[in-house]
Amino acid sequence: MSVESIETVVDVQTNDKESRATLRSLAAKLPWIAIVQVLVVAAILLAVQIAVDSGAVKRIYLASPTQILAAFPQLFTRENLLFHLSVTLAEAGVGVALSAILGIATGIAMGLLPKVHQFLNPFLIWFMAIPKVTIIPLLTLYLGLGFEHKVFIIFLFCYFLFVFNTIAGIKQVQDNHIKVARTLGANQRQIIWKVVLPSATPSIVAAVRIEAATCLLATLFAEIVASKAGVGNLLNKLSGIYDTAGVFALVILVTSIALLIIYLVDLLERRVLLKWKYV
Amino acid sequence: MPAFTIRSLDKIYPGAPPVRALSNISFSVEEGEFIVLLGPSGCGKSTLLEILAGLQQPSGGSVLFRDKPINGPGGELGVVFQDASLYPWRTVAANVGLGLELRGVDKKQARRLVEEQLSLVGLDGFGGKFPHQISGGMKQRVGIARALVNDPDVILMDEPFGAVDYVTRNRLQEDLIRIWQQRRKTIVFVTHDVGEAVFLADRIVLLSPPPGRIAEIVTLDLPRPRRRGDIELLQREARIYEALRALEPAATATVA
Repeated sequence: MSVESIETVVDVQTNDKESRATLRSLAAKLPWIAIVQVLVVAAILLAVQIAVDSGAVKRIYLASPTQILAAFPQLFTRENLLFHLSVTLAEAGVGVALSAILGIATGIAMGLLPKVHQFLNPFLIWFMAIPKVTIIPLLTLYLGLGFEHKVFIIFLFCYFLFVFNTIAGIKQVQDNHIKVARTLGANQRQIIWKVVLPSATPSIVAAVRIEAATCLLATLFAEIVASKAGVGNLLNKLSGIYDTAGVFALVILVTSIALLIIYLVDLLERRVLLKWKYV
Repeated sequence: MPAFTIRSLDKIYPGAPPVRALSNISFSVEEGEFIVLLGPSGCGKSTLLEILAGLQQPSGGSVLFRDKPINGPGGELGVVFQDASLYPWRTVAANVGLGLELRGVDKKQARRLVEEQLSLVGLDGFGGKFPHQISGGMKQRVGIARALVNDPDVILMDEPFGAVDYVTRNRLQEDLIRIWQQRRKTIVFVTHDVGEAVFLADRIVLLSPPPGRIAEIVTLDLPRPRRRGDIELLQREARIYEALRALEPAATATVA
């Protein structure tokens, strides 16, 4: 072997080492976890597609991704989805707003006045303990199948957390914070508005965050059990006629809405309610 | 007329058995004076301060503020708390302005007064920050600014510099003396730090371990500005340490 050729070999080796090093640093920069996540989802979708197309799984049980995609426009045209969606969102919105207003008010009264707490607490615990599903037939009898029925059920799901989180928040107020206000001449009303309620806000916001998702669950639950309209009603109808692709499309839609709501509540928390925590 | 007149003050917390926190306390605080309440922990010095602030009621004896009994806290006195106790949901400026807001001072004037206090405590330009964005020493400065905003003649301070580091504490002490001299305030200051007491006080009220009673009142007629490490300051400090040691319960003394 000539001297020259030995040199070339060495040269190639160092080149190789360098390119391997750049490859390695490139590899370190890639978002591997995200890539694998996407691959897992793609693999599952592909497997479902093949399983359904080949007839290995019956169409009653599972719909392929392409079938589900195709079901979406049909939901809007044939099934009047926008109407059902508006019914569901109106019920959820009114239900959760009512729970929040009355729940926070009850919580404030109980948190500030020990006598009110002593009186109401056993009733609240008793009502909270009722398994909701057992009283739905009665509620249907009293309130019918429509709006009031849904709002009441949502209320049963959401009210109590607002009450108890508000009480917990009020209990968290620091003694020294109240002393500061008192030494600056605050009266009782000012202490409540400027110290007690701001102290309770993080705990109340935590309730809002949980209820944002719960109210949708409660609405769908109530609609599936007894209703004339709404996404839950539509879901019943589609599963009744074995429109599995339609059911999957609805589930995806409802999930997306839930995610959107959680995102919006998060935004509200960061930009408005607890802005001070995020600067 | 003294700012505070305290006569045979007792404080007993009910319970089984009842706890006697303060016993037969008598002294007065002159207008413009810098008084330090000094003593070991549990001697009731914070309780005494809270009684002066109107946050607690005495069990016996009398406490007069300008010859009138203290009738709950009323905004005439500024109080600075141990841990600053700022409201985390309010900006620095909104914390300082709390007292003005509670009194319904108009917004424009309030903003000007807040700026003034922030500048006095050396926090120009920090009004927009939230408490969690500033250091412990700065928090205490905000606490002082908040107590000053209603322009009270008397400021009560409960171990305000206990939780900050040594260098910051020295700076805060010097700035406090400057503010006290500029604004001609009466200050009652609680601490367990002998060096701090000697550096700041016109008079030191030395309290004994529980139940708190006055062991000695030390007058420090040393010229100001005082310099740390000054031989005379150190001698006074040594004498107070001796007095404190004499107050310790006998059992601890023999072990030591």
